[in-house]
Amino acid sequence: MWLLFSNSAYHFNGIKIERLVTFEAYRDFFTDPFYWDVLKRTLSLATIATTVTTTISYPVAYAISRLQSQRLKILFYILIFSPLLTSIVTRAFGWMILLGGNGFINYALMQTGLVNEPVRMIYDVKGVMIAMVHIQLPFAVFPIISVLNQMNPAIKEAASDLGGNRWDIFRRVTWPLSLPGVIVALQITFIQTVSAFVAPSLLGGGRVLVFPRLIYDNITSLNWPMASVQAVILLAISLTILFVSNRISLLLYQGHRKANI
Amino acid sequence: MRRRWALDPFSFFLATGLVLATLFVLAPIVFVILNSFNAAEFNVFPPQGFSLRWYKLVFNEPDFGKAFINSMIVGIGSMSLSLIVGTSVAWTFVRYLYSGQSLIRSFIFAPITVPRIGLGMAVFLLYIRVGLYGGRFGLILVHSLLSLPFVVSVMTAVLYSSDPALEDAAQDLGATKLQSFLKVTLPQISTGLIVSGLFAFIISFDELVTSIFLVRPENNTLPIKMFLYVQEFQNPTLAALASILIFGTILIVIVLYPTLKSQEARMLLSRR
Repeated sequence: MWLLFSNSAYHFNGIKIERLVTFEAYRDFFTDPFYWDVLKRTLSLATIATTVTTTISYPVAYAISRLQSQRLKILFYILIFSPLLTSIVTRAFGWMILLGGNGFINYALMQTGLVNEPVRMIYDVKGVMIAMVHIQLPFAVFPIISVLNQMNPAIKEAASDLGGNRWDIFRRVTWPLSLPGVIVALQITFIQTVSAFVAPSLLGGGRVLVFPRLIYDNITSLNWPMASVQAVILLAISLTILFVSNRISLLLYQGHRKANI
Repeated sequence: MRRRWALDPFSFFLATGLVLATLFVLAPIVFVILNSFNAAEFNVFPPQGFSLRWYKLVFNEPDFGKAFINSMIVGIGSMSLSLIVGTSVAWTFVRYLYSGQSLIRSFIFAPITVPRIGLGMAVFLLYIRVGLYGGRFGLILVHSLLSLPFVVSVMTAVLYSSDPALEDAAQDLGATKLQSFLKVTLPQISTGLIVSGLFAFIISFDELVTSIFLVRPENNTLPIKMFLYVQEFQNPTLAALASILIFGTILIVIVLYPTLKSQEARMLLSRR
């Protein structure tokens, strides 16, 4: 236990000490448009990846939760969550193979005549995006599926007995009740994509510079103060997201309670 | 009758989506395996004949072997540490009520919300100061920290469902505390230990971002080695290595499947 405490305490110390020694790094950071560009790129990549991931994850979670056969359900659980058992490097490498100029996707596109020459997907934002969505998918499916599984089927039956059609039931019963899961999914995905390192490094190949990669480069080039400043900013972003989304969940929860009364 | 017809296209749509998503999820893994048997010099589709030479190359590269052994040591070390600490913490959560409980909980769960790269950076600065930098022991500590939230949450759930009355009964019948723990409690929580131990091991074995700052090159773990290798070379050697790892994982899961089946399915389905 002391170990945990001391580790958490040190963790902040580590950053704080750097901050005291070099206050200038902050000024350097905020006045350099290059850093702003990287920050903007990181945030927009994370936003798009989060939106796409959650949009795909919801129907997937919904479909799995509706499967009648227990066996099929477990099968899809295993299939969807199996990538978590492989290294993140393996998954990114898999996408490099698939998306490369000589890869399967380009081969298929050329064979079907959709394009005449290979589309550039690796060492490009497209590849980074695809790999990010793939890596995050299980993390987004999980919270949504847990909320959907937890839902009492009697509520849906009641809604249907009261004359609601499929769409009404979904819109007015299932969707609002599953919102907390969606918020958790958004939160996890955003925090993880904003600090994603492997996918942008490997599939971006130096062309897609994001914040975590910048931190890494600064550490390896021994610019520790700058790396610390960037780590603090990244931390601040994550904590803000965490705080805001927790706040939203709380409001939703209170809203439900009011509606129930 | 009419209702059924209205139902079907929707279900069909959902099912197609699910299958497509599953293909998307599995695609990179399948292609890594396919590519490892490719005879060509570089990653190309369609594969140009069947060959096992990349597998030979993996075994001829001593760095991979060394990195694998490092990863195993760190993985088993951090698994043991986080199981011991995590189970003890979960035990105090379930059996006792004390002030500061929620504080400890939030400390334990903090590493989940902190970006890995920030954590790695902070620990790196710390290790430089206290002299833990570069070694495997430092890695074991950090990896335990990362897997602790999972161990604690699984073990808390498991301990809640175990019956403390049985321990009391054993002790009333003359067992010492240790005996009652080993003979009564342990069998009840063994599945939880296996599940969370597996989690902890995998978390450590796959961790790249926090580890990459913390070790000297001679202590590189497998993910670090793989990461650096992909950045430099573009040939199927890595596919072969990754495939070996995938086959290994499948083997472990098959061996542990009887244990995982009941408990994990239940836990996954009923968690929170």
